[in-house]
Amino acid sequence: MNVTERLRERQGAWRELERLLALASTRRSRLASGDALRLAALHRAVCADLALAEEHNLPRLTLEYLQSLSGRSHAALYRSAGFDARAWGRALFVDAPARLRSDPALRIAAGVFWGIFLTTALLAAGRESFAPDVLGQRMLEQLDQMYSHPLNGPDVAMGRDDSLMAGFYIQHKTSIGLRCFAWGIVLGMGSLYELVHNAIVLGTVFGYMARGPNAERFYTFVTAHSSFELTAVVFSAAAGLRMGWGLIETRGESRPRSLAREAGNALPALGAAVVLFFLAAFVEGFVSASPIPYGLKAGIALASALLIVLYLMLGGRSRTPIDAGGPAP
Amino acid sequence: MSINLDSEALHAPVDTVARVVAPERIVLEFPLAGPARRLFAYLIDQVAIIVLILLAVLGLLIVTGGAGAGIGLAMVAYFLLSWGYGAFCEGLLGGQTLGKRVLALRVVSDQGEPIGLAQAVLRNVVGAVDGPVPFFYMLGFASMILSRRFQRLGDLAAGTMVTALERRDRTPLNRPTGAEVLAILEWLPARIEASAELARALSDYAAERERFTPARRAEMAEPLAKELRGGWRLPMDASADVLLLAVHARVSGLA
Repeated sequence: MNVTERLRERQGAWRELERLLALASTRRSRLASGDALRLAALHRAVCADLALAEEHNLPRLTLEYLQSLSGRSHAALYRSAGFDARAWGRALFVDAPARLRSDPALRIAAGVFWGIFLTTALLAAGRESFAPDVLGQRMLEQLDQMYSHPLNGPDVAMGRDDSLMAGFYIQHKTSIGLRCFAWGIVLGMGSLYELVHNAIVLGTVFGYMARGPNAERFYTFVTAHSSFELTAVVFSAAAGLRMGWGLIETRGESRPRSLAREAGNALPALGAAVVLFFLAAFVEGFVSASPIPYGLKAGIALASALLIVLYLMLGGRSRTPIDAGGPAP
Repeated sequence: MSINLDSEALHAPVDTVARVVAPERIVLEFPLAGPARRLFAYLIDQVAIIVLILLAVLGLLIVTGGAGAGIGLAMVAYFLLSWGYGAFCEGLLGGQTLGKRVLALRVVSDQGEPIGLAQAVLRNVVGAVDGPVPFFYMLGFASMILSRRFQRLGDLAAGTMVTALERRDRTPLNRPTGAEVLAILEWLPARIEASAELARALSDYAAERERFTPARRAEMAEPLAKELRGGWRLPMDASADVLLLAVHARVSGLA
């Protein structure tokens, strides 16, 4: 019996596999266990048929048919896990702090950000011409105008609506953080640029407001959410730097492979940054503009800073090398 | 007897196909989707996102009666949809957004496996760089042209590629029927060992010849047929077209 005759006899099995694949793709739920086992067996058999057909120079159309069939059954068989809440929780509370703690990218990002932030803040507070040179007169006028009204109370124009503003901050600031990470793909330079840019603008604003008449109102507003928000910026830049570093240090892999590896490693930190942005948005929306006493707002800022420090120091340190709860890595 | 048509060009993989070695020890071939096809899928998705955002915003505003909380929630919905639509569809709905479903495209990992949610998030977040701001898609387009698998930067970061789902119909392995072909088959050796390249060339000829006029067929088939006639002392009056069909049938074991 020659190969072609054998493959002719196999056509019934191919038809059966096609039927199972159609079933698997139309029905969102899983296949019945019997069908799933049959699918696996048929997939292996079709792979063998394809190898045989390639070996014996069967017509190209037959080869292409078998290739597309085995490709589709491969995709149906090797499925991804889908959403696993435990895995994402692990990534956020175990992987992210453990990686960030030992990652030079975080130290670089934090050093660059706070260094520039403090320098520009001092310069803007000390020199009258610094803030107008950096930010431009128009932006300063807008800032002055923004903080010239009381933050709350009956005479607030256009009423600051807390939940409206929280939604706006989530949309606006988290988008900035995500973009800051994404630009890390340009050898980390994009993230660094965003980080430096934010540090200069924020630092200058902080320093400038100290000179003006609205200082008290400004600091009362920004205190409560500052820990969460500034750390979130640093985290997303650190994640972007980590991803960009993958293009530079390849560890013997091809550059795209290395990039994909480090991008995956950076993802938990980005997740942590997004969570911090959301927290910051809620605090900024519901606490920062509220009439609660300043001491309480400062307390919230300190508590959130402490929380971040504890998260970075203690998160992901397991008591034993193999985590008792989850399966061994 | 064996015939060899070896050439470097024939061995080089076609650049629109990604080859992946599967655990079953076969090489799976994934036809890749190029920029043009993906552009249409992208446009459909953009429309879908805009429609979803409008629906969400309208719904939230109606439910909350236009209160500030409604506007806030609408902004959150806008954020989630604009950043999360692709990640959600590709990560949890089998690698396909609406546009990809319409154009029969699918995102898979560069090992040919379905992608996970983490990969889907990565390729869509980093995809911000590929997008309209600030370089009007030029980064993504350049990356697609320069990478081996039409990968934009988001794909490179996530280790994914976009494949075209091509469903091929089964072609029956029929025995040849024409009397002329059968007559030639009598003259041929019972078994012909041909190189893979020759077998492929013959089967391509057999599959595509119907599209050409008899004169064009003869022109294409003659150079090879001339050598074959001499090698096997076949009747010189047999047409080149029929001769190649017969050799194809024998090489591929159809007859």
